[in-house]
Amino acid sequence: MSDTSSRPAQVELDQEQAMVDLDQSIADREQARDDHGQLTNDATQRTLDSEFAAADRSDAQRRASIAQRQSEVERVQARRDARQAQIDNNQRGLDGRQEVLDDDQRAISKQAAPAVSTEDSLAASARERQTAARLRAEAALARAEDARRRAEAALARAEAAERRTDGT
Amino acid sequence: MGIVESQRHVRRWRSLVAEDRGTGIAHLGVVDGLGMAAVTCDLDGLITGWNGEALRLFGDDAQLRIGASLASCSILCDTEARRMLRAVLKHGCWRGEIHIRVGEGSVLADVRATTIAESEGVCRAVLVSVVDVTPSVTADRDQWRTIVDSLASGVALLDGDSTIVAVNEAWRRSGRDADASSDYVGCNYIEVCEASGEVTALEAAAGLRRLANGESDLFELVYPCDRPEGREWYLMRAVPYASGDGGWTVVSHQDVTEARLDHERVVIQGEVLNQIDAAVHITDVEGTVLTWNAAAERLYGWTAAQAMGRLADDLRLTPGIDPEIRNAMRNGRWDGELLLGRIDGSTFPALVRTSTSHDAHDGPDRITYVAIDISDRIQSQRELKAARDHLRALTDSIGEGMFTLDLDGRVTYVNPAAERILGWAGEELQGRMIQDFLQTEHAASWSRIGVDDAPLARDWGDGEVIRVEDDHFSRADGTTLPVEYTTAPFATDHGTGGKVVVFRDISERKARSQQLERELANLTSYRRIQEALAEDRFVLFAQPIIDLGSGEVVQRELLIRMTDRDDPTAIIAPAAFLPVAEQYGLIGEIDRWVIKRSADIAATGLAVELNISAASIGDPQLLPYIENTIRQSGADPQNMVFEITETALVAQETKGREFVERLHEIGSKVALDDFGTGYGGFTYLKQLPIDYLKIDVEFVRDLANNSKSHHVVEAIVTLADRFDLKTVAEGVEDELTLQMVRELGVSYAQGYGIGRPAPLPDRLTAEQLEVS
Repeated sequence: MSDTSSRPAQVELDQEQAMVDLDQSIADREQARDDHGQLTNDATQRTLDSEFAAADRSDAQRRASIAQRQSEVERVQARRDARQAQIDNNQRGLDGRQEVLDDDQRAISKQAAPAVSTEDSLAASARERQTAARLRAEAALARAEDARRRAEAALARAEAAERRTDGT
Repeated sequence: MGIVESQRHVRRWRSLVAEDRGTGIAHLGVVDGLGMAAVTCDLDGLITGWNGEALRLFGDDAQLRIGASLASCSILCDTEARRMLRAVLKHGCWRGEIHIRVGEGSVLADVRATTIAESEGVCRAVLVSVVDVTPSVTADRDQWRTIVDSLASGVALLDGDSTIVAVNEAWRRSGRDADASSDYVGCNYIEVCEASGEVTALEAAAGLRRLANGESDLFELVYPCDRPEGREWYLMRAVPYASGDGGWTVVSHQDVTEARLDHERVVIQGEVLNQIDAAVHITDVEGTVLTWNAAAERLYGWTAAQAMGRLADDLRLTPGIDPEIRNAMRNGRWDGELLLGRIDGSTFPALVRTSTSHDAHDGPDRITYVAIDISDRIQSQRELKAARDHLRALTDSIGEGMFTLDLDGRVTYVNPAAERILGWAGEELQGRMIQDFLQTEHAASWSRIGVDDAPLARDWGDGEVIRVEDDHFSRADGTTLPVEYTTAPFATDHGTGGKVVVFRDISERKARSQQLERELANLTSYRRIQEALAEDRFVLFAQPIIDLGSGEVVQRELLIRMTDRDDPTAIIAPAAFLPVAEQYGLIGEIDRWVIKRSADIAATGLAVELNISAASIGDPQLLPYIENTIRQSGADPQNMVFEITETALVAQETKGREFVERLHEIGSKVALDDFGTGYGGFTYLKQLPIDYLKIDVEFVRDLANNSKSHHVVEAIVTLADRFDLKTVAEGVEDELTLQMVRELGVSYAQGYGIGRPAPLPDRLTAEQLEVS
């Protein structure tokens, strides 16, 4: 015997989940691209720091050129920070949508559990959903770890910028 | 016995003799013991008697005898005896210092003669007294000679004939220094002077002659004397005097060079003092005015006659002066600005300096006040300040940025506009080298002319006004600012020089210019598109779309191209004209051309996909046109898939929905182009009858080496599955990607790796296309 009443809700939930998954995958891709851009900017900053340390104090033109590039790096960093803020904001929205979906899924699963267990195809779908949920949880964990790493990197950048400003 | 004492005795003795007018001789013995030799004689000079001292003075061999002449006893020579007798008879007395022979030697004697034994006014005899004054006179003479020799002035004694009879050491030295010839003793000085022929010497001779003639009693002459070490000045002074033995003249020559120089200095200082513009007055410590120059007269209004000798305070020169300043002025050096007062009570600002001179005991002696009227200067400063403030306000208010550079190329001033435009604070720029922060394109040319070593302002077109219409400066935030600027050299009378740079932000002008250029280009493109539409110079290229399950070509996306008017084989890509067509409203006509041609192709039995612009979705006439065109062409609507972008659909939700639903009603299908690059959310999928999701090339291109893109494509496939949609992977360019999209479950694929867009012949059959 199957629980037909839960099917449209499950289909609709699956569609919603698919949309959120697509959004999340696109967001992950955007985050990856930004992380790569951040690495490039960090490398440029390190190069500038070493060039500045090696530059002759009397070589005003050289130091001015470095200062000019430093300004450009900081400008790019400012744009990246703003972009990261957008991504973080978007991610919070996605997380919220996912929580709602998770709640809905738990509600449907709880309601349909006796019937589902008697039907192989539905059981397989449920397993797929559980697997997908586990993967999403792992991905969320990885994102949280990445976010912590980015926060630390941002703090380090801020300290380095302060040191450069102080000239120490 | 001194001369004075002797004279006293003579007077006493004379009175005794006078008591016995007839036998004075008998009383000579009475005057023995007076320490004075005495001899009496008659009016012919014949001796009539003598006392014991006379006998002792002249000795036994003196031949004193009654009736002998005075000369015979060596008292006086004949001439002197006669002169004495004449003088006595005439004046009643005579006196002289003469040398008399005594034994083998001689002594200097004070000889006096006086008449005695007068009876009824008749002189009967003469008493001659002789006092040996040799010791005292010699001492006096030596004393006076020493004194005279010690004088710095040369002194000579001239007798009545103007013959030099005696000179002092200075005179002799002067003679030696002059020509080492002579001191002219024994020479007639007048003749000596006349013989020299010099003007001053002749003047001296004339003066001496006037003295000798008794025409004057003093002659003075200041004359120069040129020495190898320089000109010296002397005061010649000649004074006659008469002694018992005739007229004499004392001539002295006094070196007055220092005195004259001092005088000249005083004169010059006085003249200078009067010529300078500064008012100078000098007071003593009590404040009494001692000196008052001409400028002080002009400045204060008090004449020198009015001011001199008065207390400066009475002149009210420093009204309302701070007592501390007054004390400072009087006790040492002070300088500063004060308000001084004139005689009429008016005041004026002045720069005042005082200094105090000290006497030999280091006590304050004189106070010198120097005052300069600075009314004009202060007025000038006010005017300058006003002018400067005006100019400063002008430069501060102008919209153009402006900064000035010194001769080293360092920034000396930055106006507010420059601060605003460049984003630097003025104090950050001042003192910095210009090329350190502007980073202009001219830096290279500056370097070429050595600006790195020799600064900008000196070497960069020094003396020229330079206008650069297209350059860029660096802003504080690192961004580049397009500018035009003018540099001009400037120099002031005070030696200040450098460059003034006035610049203007031309980003707006440049953007406007670029916009105009674009619009001009667009207008050109617009005309080309119109011509192409009129001349039917558009063509459709077809790119195959395969079914990833069967690998067969199941559809073709039709892509529009434009051919060149002059060269029909030259193909113009859509990016060169579609944006312009959309901007200028031609896209609707192009869409209609595409729909018409696509329908014709679909009528041959081929399944085609055609692109509809976002603008046409909102065109209410387009759907009827599509229906009519399909009907007229005889094409199966199912063979026509209309592609619209996700962005266009979401932006016009209502019209987009009507468009999509109507196409479905006709029997055609709809594909969402560039899927995944839009707004996200995808909720419209639940409401719109979409048939295909065309996965954007962005996700497909790096599918093989980007796991994130892989996840996106995977998610799109899942999404399409959830909504029963087909997916088309765009931009499949290689076999690996083709294999991956197949494995991911994508329905269809297109791309260069499958088939490039290619032109379609005007008339094609399905078979021909299959072959092609």
